[in-house]
Amino acid sequence: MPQFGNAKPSAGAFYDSGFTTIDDLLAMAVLYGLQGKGDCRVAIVTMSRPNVAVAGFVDTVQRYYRGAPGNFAQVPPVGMRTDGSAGETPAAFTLPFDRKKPDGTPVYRNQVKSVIETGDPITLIRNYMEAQHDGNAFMVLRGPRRISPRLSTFPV
Amino acid sequence: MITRKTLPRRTFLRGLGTAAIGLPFLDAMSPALRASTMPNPPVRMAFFYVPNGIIMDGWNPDYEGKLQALPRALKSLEPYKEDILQLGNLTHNTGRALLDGAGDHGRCCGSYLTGIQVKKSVTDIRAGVSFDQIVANEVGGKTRFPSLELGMDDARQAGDCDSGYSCAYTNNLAWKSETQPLPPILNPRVLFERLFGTGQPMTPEERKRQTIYRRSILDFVTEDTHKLEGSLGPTDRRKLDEYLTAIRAVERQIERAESDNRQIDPHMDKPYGVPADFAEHFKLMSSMVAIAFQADLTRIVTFLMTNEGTSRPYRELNIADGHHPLTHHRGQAELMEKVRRINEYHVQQFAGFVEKMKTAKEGDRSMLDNSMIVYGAGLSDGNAHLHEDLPTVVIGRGGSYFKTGQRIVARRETPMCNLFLTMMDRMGVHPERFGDSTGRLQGLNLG
Repeated sequence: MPQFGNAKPSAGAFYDSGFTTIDDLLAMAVLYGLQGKGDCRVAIVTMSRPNVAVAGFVDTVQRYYRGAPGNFAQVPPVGMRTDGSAGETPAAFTLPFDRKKPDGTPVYRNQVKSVIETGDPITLIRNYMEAQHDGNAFMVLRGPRRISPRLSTFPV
Repeated sequence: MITRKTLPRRTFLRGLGTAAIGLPFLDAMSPALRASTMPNPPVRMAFFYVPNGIIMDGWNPDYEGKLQALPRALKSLEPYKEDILQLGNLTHNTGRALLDGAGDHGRCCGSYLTGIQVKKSVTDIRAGVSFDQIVANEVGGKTRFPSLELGMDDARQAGDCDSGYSCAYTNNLAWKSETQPLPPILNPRVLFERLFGTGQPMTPEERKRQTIYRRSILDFVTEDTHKLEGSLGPTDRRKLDEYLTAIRAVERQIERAESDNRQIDPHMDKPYGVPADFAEHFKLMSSMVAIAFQADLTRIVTFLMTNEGTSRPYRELNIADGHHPLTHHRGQAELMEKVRRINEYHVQQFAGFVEKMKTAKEGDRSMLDNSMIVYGAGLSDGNAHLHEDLPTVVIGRGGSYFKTGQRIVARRETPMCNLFLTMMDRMGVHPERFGDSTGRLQGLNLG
């Protein structure tokens, strides 16, 4: 979330991945684990392929780690590229939405039904990078580097 | 009536020293029988800003595409549904704290039209040139006033209005330069004289004489009016009559407000001539906006309906609590209901202005068709101080530019400045970027 206050916080983490395997997701989970220990804060997660179903799963996992949104900030959207191939959707990423509570309601609610519930990755990274202190953020990339070259096109 | 002579668009009715009244677009201003060479009416843009956010469940419909029943806050605009473009998910990242701490109200208003993260300071103010002024610099020379800045509330420019942010940020929308805001005109009399006076200050004697005799500004241009009427066809005569009647109605309202102020309380803190009643004040100011557009006195207006962070009570709605404290409702139903009623009330007043724009005809279109009127706020959820999914409607097609009657939802975090960049194109100004824009707003089906 955009930082609130002037004290220098723990480093902001930016994570970009194709989310093609469960390992991609576990890498994100490691970052949230570090956040739990106060070693970093996960600022933005972006996806390097246009797959709304997978974005929905990533969003749900993020909400699980971040908890309920508080005042002055909401859970940021998952950044998702809209070009390139959607690729496959691993079954492990859709099965959780089939789970039901005893009363028949879903255990997990998918809040990403279409591309509009995602954000443009570069805009998101730019916006959330502006909320970091200088030299206090890092980016983790899994897969081909499709994000970083475009970042340089933005005036920040 | 077909005439050989064409009336210049810049014709004024002039009087003895004190009046210069612009005219609406008349048929006589078009060359006879040459429809192909008829000038297109100008495109205007205006921004009506409401503070402290909106209760968003009363603002956002739960669908996209063709507008159906409008949500509660927008109900008063139902008759103009086909003229509305309702936009979702537009964001002002520069209104957020980033690394500057508290002060969302100061930031969100300061950044609204500038697209800039304003400097947190009470004395060293720094914003940026607002986009209305960028347009005014380019096209403002075509009209008597490059732009008009209007408001309804206290316009003090100094002091701390929000957690270390200068009042210059909360009390202005338009910025001429990064250090020079353009304070809004609050007083209907001042606006009236600016619009219809000659620009020459009246001497104390002249002002006294006008007050004593209670003469209408139209009385000063009677001779010119008669001369002009003689050269017009019946349609133009009717149009001119309606236009001058509207000016006279505004003038009467101002006189009544001045008279009421004297009778109600000579020590009230409203300036002389400002109606005590919010609705009356807004009606007067917005009527003059419509007249100014009609006479092509300006094409750009910014209007702060009340200042950001205002704690104004709405006693006319039996709401004694201040607006800003109410918006920090912490989810309490009773407080939220009061905010909803304030949201509705603002839109209700605004709908009166939309009606004026809709009924003013320009050729076979309405003046609204040739305008882009933005109504919105710099915060969405005022309780949580959110800067995303800002409440935004554009009313009017900008001269067949926008396809209206729709709700279009952009991707989350889409910069509000993308909309501004798109509007700038329509006004004939084409910068590569503005503020934190990332391009033109997508999905609008522009004409």
